[in-house]
Amino acid sequence: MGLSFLNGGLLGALSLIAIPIIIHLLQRKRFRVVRWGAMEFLRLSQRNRSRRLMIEQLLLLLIRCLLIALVVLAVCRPVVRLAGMNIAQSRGQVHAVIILDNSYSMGYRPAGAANETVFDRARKRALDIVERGLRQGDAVSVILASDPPQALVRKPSLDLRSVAALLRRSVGLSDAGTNYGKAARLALDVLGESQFVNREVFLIADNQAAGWEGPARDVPAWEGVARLAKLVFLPVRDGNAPNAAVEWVQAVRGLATARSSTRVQARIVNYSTAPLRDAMVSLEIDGKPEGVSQRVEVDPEKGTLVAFNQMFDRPGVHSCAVRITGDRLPSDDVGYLALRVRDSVKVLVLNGKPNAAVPQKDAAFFLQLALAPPISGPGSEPTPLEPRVVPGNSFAGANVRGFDVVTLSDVESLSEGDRRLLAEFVQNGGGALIFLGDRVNAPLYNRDLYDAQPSLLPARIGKVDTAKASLDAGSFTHPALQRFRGAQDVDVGTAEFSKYFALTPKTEDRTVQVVAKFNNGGAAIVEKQFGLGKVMLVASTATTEWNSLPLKPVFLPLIHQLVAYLASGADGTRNGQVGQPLVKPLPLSEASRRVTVTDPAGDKSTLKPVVDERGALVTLEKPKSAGFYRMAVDGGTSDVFAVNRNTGESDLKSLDQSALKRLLPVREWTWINLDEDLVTALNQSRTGVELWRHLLLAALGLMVLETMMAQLFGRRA
Amino acid sequence: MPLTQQQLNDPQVIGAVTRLELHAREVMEGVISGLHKSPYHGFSVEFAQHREYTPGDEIRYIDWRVAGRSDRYYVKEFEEETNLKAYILVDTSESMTYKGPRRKYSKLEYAQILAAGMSSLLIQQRDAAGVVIFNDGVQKYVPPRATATHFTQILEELVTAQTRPKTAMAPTFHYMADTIKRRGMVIVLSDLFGDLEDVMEGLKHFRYRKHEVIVFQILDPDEVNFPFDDLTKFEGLELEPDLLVDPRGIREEYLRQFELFCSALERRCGEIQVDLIRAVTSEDPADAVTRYLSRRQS
Repeated sequence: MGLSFLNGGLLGALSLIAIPIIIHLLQRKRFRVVRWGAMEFLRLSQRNRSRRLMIEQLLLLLIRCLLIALVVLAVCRPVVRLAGMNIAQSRGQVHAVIILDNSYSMGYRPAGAANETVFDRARKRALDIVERGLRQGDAVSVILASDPPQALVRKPSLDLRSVAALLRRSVGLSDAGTNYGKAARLALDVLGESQFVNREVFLIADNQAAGWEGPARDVPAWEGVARLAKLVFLPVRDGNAPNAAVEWVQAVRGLATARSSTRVQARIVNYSTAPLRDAMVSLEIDGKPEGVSQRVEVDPEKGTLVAFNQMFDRPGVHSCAVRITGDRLPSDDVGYLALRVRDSVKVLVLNGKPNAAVPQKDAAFFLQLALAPPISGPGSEPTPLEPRVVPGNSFAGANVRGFDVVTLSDVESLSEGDRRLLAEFVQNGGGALIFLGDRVNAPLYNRDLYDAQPSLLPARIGKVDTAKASLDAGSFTHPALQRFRGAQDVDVGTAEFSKYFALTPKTEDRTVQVVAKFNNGGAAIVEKQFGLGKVMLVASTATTEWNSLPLKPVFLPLIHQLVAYLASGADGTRNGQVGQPLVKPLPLSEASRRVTVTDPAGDKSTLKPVVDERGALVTLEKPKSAGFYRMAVDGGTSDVFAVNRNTGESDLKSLDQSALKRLLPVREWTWINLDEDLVTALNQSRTGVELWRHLLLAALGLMVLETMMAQLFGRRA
Repeated sequence: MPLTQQQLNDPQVIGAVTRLELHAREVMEGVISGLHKSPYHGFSVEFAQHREYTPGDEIRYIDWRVAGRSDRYYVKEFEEETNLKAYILVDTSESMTYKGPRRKYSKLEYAQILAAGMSSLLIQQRDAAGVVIFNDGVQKYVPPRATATHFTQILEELVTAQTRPKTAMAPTFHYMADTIKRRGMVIVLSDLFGDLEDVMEGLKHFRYRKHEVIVFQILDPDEVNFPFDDLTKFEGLELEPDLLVDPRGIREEYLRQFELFCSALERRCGEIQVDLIRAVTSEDPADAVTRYLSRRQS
């Protein structure tokens, strides 16, 4: 036999019992004083009467205390559970909270189950509970457990038939993973609002280890659920299930250009205990199969990389999907990538110090060489970068808007017109890369590009420093330079800097960050976001006059990485995961337009851009499905985004009862296996009677008794 | 012990004496006017003989019973007992100081008024009146005299009487019974709260000495009705331990005990021919005296 309280938190109110006692004591303290002569008669009377009086008073006090205790206990709603007491006939109303796992792993089709998925089984179990396990007067809530969990029916619904219809009609698999801990928290909320006597929580799930372990492990939440309700586990799949998944797809180089080959790479993971053999991996571009399929073999619990060299014949955003041949869980057999392919990347180099005689002293010489190296040897491809060098300190009529990146190299200063042109260029998504040098008029830079608006420079330019320094590869955390961090092929640390400007980054600007540091701690490259574009300032020259960097092998990939990064401009988050926001930046000129979003299923919705300091942004907060999303600006451009599943869910190892018991030391639960009849098992486990009615009746009786006794004693007195 | 000069010059004492004298006069006049309406006379007036009616005699003295029997008119002739000595014993124990709310007098004040009034009445009739003030023993003894100045002394002694938190009635009564040599009248003014046996022993002693004994049991209406409701701490006026009491709870029992005492007192007094008059302080003192005189002479 066990006693528990549904509103145990109110037990503290038992201290109210002190009230009648305090009143009694206070009354004994408050009396009049009479100086009296006839004491003898009083003494005689008192001797006979006082004991009875005291007993009467104590009796009344006891009744009053008991009355309060009973009312408080009734409010706390105690439930007594007697072993073996079958209350199937006499039980009170039940509030069933069904937690239905609809994560994508539930789409698994077990062997020998025709075309039935695990989720179909789970849905049947849920319908069993609603249609056979409950009866008229019972209520049901339904929680869908894929992360983040969602209460499909939150308020206890007495209309069992429509809940059953809802389960049949409107509940489907999601593309999200599972977090049983979060589901338990939601169930706690639902239980907290429940006014029902008997509460039962059913978890219908495949009990994937990933949904219970790590951050999903929330023992207190489950303990809370078990305290408030009877916890029933209804596993719908057991043991391990073989599964392979596409973990991710990405382009090897960040920058893809048309008519040059782009390497698309995918990682295939085998979550089974047996090796994966003869699986075919194929690439789809814009919905059409492309190129050759590749056969992969993956060892048990291992992953492998598969790469496709893809030539895009036209620029634009392309949707790339990598598939492996179907297994029993098809939903994770595909990975998505939205890839922006450019025609080419046009780079304008403003050469502030042309020198035809000594090319090493020409401020654009090494830059041009790095951006467009001469084609040498078979198999080498032209770089997708198209540099154009303009000598002098002015753009001189060059159409800046037609470029992706503008590079200033040792330019003395910019005229007001050029400054405005450059600002507008960056504002709309262009990238600017600024090298300094002995021609640079630092005070003018600071005055016109740092202090004055628009303030393009990410740092104030200080004095020229001549202490020898080198680049600190350890400081390369910026995405543009991550390739060099701990790289084996090239070493940025070998380049020696004998002269450089001291840069003071504008720390009050949130978008300013130091991209690279010297080994003495000084800033070597500083970046700033300006509008939709970015500006990078390098402390030294792009020639060999101040440093040896242009002579080092790292120079070419470094320039390519920086240019690729700066050229990515207004790209936003093009590739994300289910549940993570997708952000598309828009030029301010399009800030007032509506954006139509088409999800992978073809459903359309509209969004409005939000304007902040970075420009106008369109955000799709929580994409629910995996696949390609299209965002089309009214009367403007269209863009493609890719959303992938979190493949943590693809590991189908599930916990059995004993493993779960170890993980979740909850006092008491019922485990009903798939082959057990639900209703029989339920009735065996349903015990418990609520006592509040009895307590209130007893309190009522005491109230009457108290009144009668008080009157009786009063009359006798 | 006569009063000191200082006490006599005390304006409070003088005021108290004047007030008491006024009260005494009220009582006396009340009693006399009451007596005028009735055929009864004062304390010391005793029937002597009949005499044939002659015109000029007061008609109210005609003895109608004799007239009825003999068809002749006789008038009653009275003889004044000039040698009556009355001893008024006033209880000044603390219990006598009880005064219920809304009451005009405490029991002691009431006793003082009665004592003064009766003294006045007696002296008016040329009887001798004396006062004994007692509590845990005899405190003051003013031997009976029949002079007007003596009355003033009685008043002064009455108003300056000190209270003591103890009553010892039996020793006082025995002492006085032994002290008073000549047969006289003993008037006791007390609540008689004490051991009934002791009180009765004392009274018996007076009766044994052939004194005429009159007891005025002076009570506050509170003591008779016990009208308290709220929880009350009763503090003993005579050093008894305090009692915290729910009066409603014990009223019934109190009244029973009280009545038990009073009826026992009444019965025992009757047995030894002691006149017992119960006077509550809400009653006009003159009425109490008249009530007694009426009973005495009927």
